[in-house]
Amino acid sequence: MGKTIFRIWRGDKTGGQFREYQAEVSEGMVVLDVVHQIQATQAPDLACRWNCKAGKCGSCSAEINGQPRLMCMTRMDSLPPGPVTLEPMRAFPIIKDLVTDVSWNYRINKLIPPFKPRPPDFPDGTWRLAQEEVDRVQEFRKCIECFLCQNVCHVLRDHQMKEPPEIFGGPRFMIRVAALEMHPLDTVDRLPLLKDVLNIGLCNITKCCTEVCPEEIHITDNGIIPLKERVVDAYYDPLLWLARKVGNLLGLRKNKKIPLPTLQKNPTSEA
Amino acid sequence: MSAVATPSGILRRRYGETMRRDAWWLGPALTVVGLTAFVLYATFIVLAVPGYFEIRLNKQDFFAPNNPAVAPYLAPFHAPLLFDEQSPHAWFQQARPSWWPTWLPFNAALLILIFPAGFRFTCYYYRKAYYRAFWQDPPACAVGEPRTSYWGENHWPLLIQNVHRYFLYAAIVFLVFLWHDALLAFRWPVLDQNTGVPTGSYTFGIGLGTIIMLINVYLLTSYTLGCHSFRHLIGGRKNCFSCPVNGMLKPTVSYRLWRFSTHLNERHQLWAWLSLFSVGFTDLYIRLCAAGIWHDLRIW
Repeated sequence: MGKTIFRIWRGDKTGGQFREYQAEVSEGMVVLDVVHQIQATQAPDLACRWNCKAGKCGSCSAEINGQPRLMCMTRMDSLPPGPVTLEPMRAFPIIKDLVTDVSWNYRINKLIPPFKPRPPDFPDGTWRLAQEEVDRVQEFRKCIECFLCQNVCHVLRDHQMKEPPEIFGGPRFMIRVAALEMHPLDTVDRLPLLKDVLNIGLCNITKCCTEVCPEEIHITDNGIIPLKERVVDAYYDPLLWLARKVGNLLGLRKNKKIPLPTLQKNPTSEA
Repeated sequence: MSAVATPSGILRRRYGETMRRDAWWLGPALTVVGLTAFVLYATFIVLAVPGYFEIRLNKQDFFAPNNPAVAPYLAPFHAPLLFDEQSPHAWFQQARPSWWPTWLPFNAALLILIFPAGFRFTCYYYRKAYYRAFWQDPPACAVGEPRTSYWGENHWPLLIQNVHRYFLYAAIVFLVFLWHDALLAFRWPVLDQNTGVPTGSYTFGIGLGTIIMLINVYLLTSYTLGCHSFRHLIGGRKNCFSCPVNGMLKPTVSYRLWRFSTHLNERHQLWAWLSLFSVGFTDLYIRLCAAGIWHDLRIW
């Protein structure tokens, strides 16, 4: 394939710029291979996070020619001819070069109540599940937490709605909630969390998260929109609201309100 | 290359700024062209074409007295036809409702178009399409936006998008009417051989318009039954499709319906565009035949 020019963003939280490198590209190489080659031959101080090089650890997320992608899964022969630009994810604070601080995502993750199954169905302490139940939530469990969906989501990327008073949980955590909320054994109601803490209403379903997902999870169609519909059931549908009121009056329903969590302060942020 | 310096790293991109090298603008541009053309056509029909929703004997003067329909078609923008003095499709055989102000021009399409329009306006696919193409929020993935402020669908006025399921209920009712109209398009009036006036009896027949109406209602059905709200209401709302009942695991009817709707939902964007085009074309075809500009081909 010959020589290719790479324009790589170099810098840290105080600022930075693109620098050009020329790399020898051979057949079968992926972008991460080229980055390693540049590290080895031209820029030993180039920071890059990676681990498995097989599209399963979700570490090497970056923006290649402006598209959020995994560097280890982007073959060089899939890119158009000409210089290749390489940037860190733009939604998160820079640590150095291609490495960003994604710890905000872990703070959001802590807001979500964990799986709590119903009592076992059988005396031996087990449950029975049909395959179709497993199939639906299994799709969401494919997530490798590369945070490309969080990065491309314009609510987090352009509007930076990451801190109170109004935060958006982002597609990755909508998918995590979907995996729990649609689980047939789970008993926790996370709809108040979805509506008032993770603010699912801030998603305007422009589907960029689905477009960039390397695991091809149908984040919007199978996760976010079904959750939005459940929020409509619980909060916005006037007929269901009336049915609930009648149910409450007749004592058919038990209302159990649980306190909502709040986003903890970033321990590394300056006071 | 340009250098940037901010406390947190890289600057927010300006409107339209991106490192993408593909034709990211093409999709939004085509959406603008397609939706604008449809809205302009629908507006023209509502404001300027109260008649020509069926093919009548006198093609020059649609509302002339004793001007019977000579073909069984009904243009979908006027379906269901609530008010008309002489159409066999009309629910009420009068020119306009009694409460309609006399100074206000009447078009029967005005009474019904809010329902299909509302269904499409609040549709999850079209929301994506027009938020991107018209509101530029965002113009495309990883492309800079024009505004810094953002409310999403968490506040008024876009909170109203949550009403989508009620437009779905209306759309399902409309589907029943449209299937009825499509099946009636096989029932042709028998015409007097000399005068061309309907004799009052009917016979089986197929015209090109019959096939167009049938394709149109098929596409509309595929679009409606693949709707995200429909998929939720018929099964997706459940956490458990086949929880053990008396120890048995058996997929329920709602699971099968949900699978069927999911199958359609996977191509919801395609159905949305095909049905939008087909409903516009079917309407145009019947109106042009009604005006005598095009001539319907009688196949059977």
